[in-house]
Amino acid sequence: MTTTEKPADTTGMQAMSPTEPGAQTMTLSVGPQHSGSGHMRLIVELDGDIIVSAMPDPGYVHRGIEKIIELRNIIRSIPVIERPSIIDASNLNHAWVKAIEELQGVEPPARGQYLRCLINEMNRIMSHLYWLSIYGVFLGHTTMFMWPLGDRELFIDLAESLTGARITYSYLVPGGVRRDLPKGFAEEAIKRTKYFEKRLDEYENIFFKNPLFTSRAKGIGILTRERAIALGSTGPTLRGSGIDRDLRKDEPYAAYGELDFKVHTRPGGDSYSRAMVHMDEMRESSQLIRQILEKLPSGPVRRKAPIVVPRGETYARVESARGECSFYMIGEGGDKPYRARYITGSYRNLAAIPEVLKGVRLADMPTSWWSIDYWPVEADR
Amino acid sequence: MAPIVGKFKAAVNSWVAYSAGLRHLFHKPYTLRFPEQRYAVEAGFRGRHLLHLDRCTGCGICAWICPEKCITIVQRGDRWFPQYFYGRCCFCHFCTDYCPEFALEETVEYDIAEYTRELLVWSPERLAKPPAKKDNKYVFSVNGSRGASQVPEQGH
Repeated sequence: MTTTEKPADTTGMQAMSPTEPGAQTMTLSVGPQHSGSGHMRLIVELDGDIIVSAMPDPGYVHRGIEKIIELRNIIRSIPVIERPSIIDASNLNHAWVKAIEELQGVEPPARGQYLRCLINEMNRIMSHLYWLSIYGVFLGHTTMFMWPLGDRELFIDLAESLTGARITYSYLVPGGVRRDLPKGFAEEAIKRTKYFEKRLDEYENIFFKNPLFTSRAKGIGILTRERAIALGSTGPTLRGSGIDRDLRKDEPYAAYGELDFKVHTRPGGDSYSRAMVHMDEMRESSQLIRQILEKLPSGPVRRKAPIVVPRGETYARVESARGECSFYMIGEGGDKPYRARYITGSYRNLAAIPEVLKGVRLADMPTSWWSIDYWPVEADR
Repeated sequence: MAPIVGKFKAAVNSWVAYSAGLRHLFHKPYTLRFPEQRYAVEAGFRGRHLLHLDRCTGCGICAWICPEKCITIVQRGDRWFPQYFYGRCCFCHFCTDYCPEFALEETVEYDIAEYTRELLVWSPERLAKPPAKKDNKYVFSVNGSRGASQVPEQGH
């Protein structure tokens, strides 16, 4: 080594000037026990305060539910199936009973089908309200945190009189539902849904039109139509990118084929569009509850179904609050499935998180990624 | 021109947001002061179980269907009865649904928290006692003018 030669740079500090854009990036670990990430770690690479790349690290709350349901009979599995997302319990439960019924060849009675739709729509509203309250608190809007959680009680209380439980219903069983409507339910439900729609107008005034929200959501966290399809997004995330896809409409199950409702889409693909899709869906579900109660046929609510998974394979899917929830099930004639693959809406939307976070500022991270309505517990299962 | 219109719109929307919140300033809170004020649940609520000792045959179907395996069948003289461990029970009440003798029933008792693990084990004798009556109950009600609130059960 001659004196004119510089020693090799081992620190990396002199490689580029720190003031130059893209010169140095910082890796930040958000979570897994962080109020801004839920039960998941987001590994964020930052250039200044711009996110260069974001990588979700799921699995923190994995419970091995697919293995658990291989070891339990189909009725004993029902409370476990609900646990990944207790705020959307009946929709997940619906996918399970649908798969079993397809293998058994059992068709629930018409009234049972309508009651399934009723509890599903109530659950969709409850899930979206929970999402909205967390969205509010992510943006520092404490009123929007309190109001949806308070108004959730409207439907929790209704669900309690229908099923006997406030959140974890275990209401859908192979062959139908466990209970019929209690006395006076319809009048109370109609009163509450009308009141709820008035409340939704107030939500729009205080939050969705508020510049505090719009300035942080419009044009931020964009998921284009093409990328949404390529990444396999589902549910409100997909509809927020302008794609008219809803299993309730495209592959009608239960009584959805007989019901008249609209699938709401927004063309923007940004955080605002996804948020507004949730809002529109709550309004639609509220109207759908009234429609179900109007059209409710008489008759039994449950048909006899054996505790058996017949030999065969099936794939059943439903539209849960966060997108498609599906079961691929193999039966071998016993009281439990040989194998049941369980995929939820959040798991499908996981791939969209790096996409929407790319290029946004760190301060906009909660607004962008929570607009996907990713529920870590549901995705990890 | 466009920025001015945008700013004007933002100012209007800010005012709309504030006024929407201000309208609720004098509303009563939802919250109940438990346990002084209790939430009254309707009949059919899946609270703790009530066991009818005369009907129970000790067949054990409840223990078989229980998702959490919280039921143990215990002997009392020459008969067998279920014993519940409420530390594990998820209150799905499949045991009640599947009981062939209708020996199990749901009750409206939901506040069964205990200080020790042992106290959460409910013997057949304890399960056979009907729930105690509790006063000062409130129900959730939606009224056109007042909106949603918790009101005393008597006034409902």
